[in-house]
Amino acid sequence: MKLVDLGLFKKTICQELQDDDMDDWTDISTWTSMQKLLVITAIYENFEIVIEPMKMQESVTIEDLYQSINNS
Amino acid sequence: MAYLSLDNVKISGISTVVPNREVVNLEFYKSEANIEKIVSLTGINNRRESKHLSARMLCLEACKRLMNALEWEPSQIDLIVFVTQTPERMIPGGASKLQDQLGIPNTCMVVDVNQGCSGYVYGLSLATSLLSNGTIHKALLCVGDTMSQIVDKNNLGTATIFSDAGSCTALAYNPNMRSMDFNLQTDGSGRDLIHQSSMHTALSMDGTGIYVFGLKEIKKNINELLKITALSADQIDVFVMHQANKLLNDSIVKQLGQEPDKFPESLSMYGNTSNTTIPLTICLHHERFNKNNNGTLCCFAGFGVGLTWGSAIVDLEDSLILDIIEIRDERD
Repeated sequence: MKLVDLGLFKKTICQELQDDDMDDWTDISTWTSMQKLLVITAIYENFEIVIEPMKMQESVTIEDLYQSINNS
Repeated sequence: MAYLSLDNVKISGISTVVPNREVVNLEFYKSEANIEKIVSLTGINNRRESKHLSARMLCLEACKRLMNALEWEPSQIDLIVFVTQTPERMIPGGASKLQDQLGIPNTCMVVDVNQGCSGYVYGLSLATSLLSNGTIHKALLCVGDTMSQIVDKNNLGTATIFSDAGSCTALAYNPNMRSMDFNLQTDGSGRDLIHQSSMHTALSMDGTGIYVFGLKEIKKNINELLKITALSADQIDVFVMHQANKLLNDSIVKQLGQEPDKFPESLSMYGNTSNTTIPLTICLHHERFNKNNNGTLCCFAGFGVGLTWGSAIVDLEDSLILDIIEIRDERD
C-alpha cells in the first residue's frame, strides 16, 4: 500500500505529536520511544500501514520516512 | 502450520493467585516527569510485586484452592504442566516440586515449559494434547511468572508494566466436549526484542518493536484460526487477549472489529502479568463466565517473548472460575 499524500501524512504526525512546528523535526531518530509509539499508532489508524521501527531509525526527516514507506 | 484441533478435553476450572504487595505506578514513580503519560499509554495503574514469592509458590496456592473447590484428590492427577520464565532454579524444573508439594503420587507425569506471554495458550495446547486420547484423565496446567523480580526498577519501559501472578487450570478428559482449536506460531529472528542475557541481568525489551509485531501478527493469527474452524468473529462470545498494554490492546480490538465489551481487561488493576494475563483476566471477570449468561465460547490470544504467539478457541461452559486470590508475600 502506498501513502497518497505527503501533506496528509505530515498533518497526521503533527496532530499526534501536538506540534505545529515541523521544521523542528530534522532528525526522527531523536524521537522518544513514546513519540515513536504514538506516531506508529496514528499512521496505522489513518493509513492501515504498520511502520517498521527500523525505518524510523534510518529516516532523518518526515519526507525520508514517507519515501521509505512508499518505496517498500 | 501448527494448527491443532483437540477433542475430548474440558477446562474444569481456573484459579489465579497474586501477591498482596500492590504498587501504584503514579505514586511509586511520582518523581518521574513522564509517569502520567506512560500510565495513560500503557493503561497500567496498579501492579503486584512479590519479593519472596516465586511463580511456583503462587501456582501451588492456585492449585490447592482449585483442587479443593473442585473436590479433586491428589491421587487423581496424572499430569502437571508448569509454564514459567522465572523459575527458582534452572535444575530441576519446578513441576516436580509442585507434584511433591501437592501430594500427588509418583504415577504423575510432569513437564516444565519456558514460555512468556504466549505461555498460557502454548501450555494449554500441550496439556490438552496429552489428555485428548483418554489415557491421562486429569491434569493441572500451572502458569505463572514473577517478572517484577527481573526488571530494572529504573527502567520505566519495563518496571511500570510487569506484574506478578500464578494460576492453575484444571483439565479433564471428557468425550462430550467440543474441540479446542489452536494456531501457534514462532519467529525466532525477533528473539532479542525481549530477552534476559543471563539469570543475573535485568530484562531488556524493545517496546516499539514488540508493538509493531503485535499490530502485524495477532489479527492475522486469530483470523486464520477462525477461518479454519469455520467460525466468524461475531460467533465468539469473549476475546480474552494477553494484556500487553492499552495502546496495543486497543488497536487489536479495532482491528478485529468487535464491540469492546467482548474484550474483558485486567491491565489497569493488575498490569502485564506475562504468561498469566489470560487466566487472571478470566478470574477477574469470574461472574461473567460462571453465570454462562452471555455465552462462553472464547478466543484466547497470547503473544510476546520468542517471538511466539498463538490463539485458541475454547468453550468455558460449566467451568468453575474462582475469583482472584491474594496471598501474603512471604517465604514458604
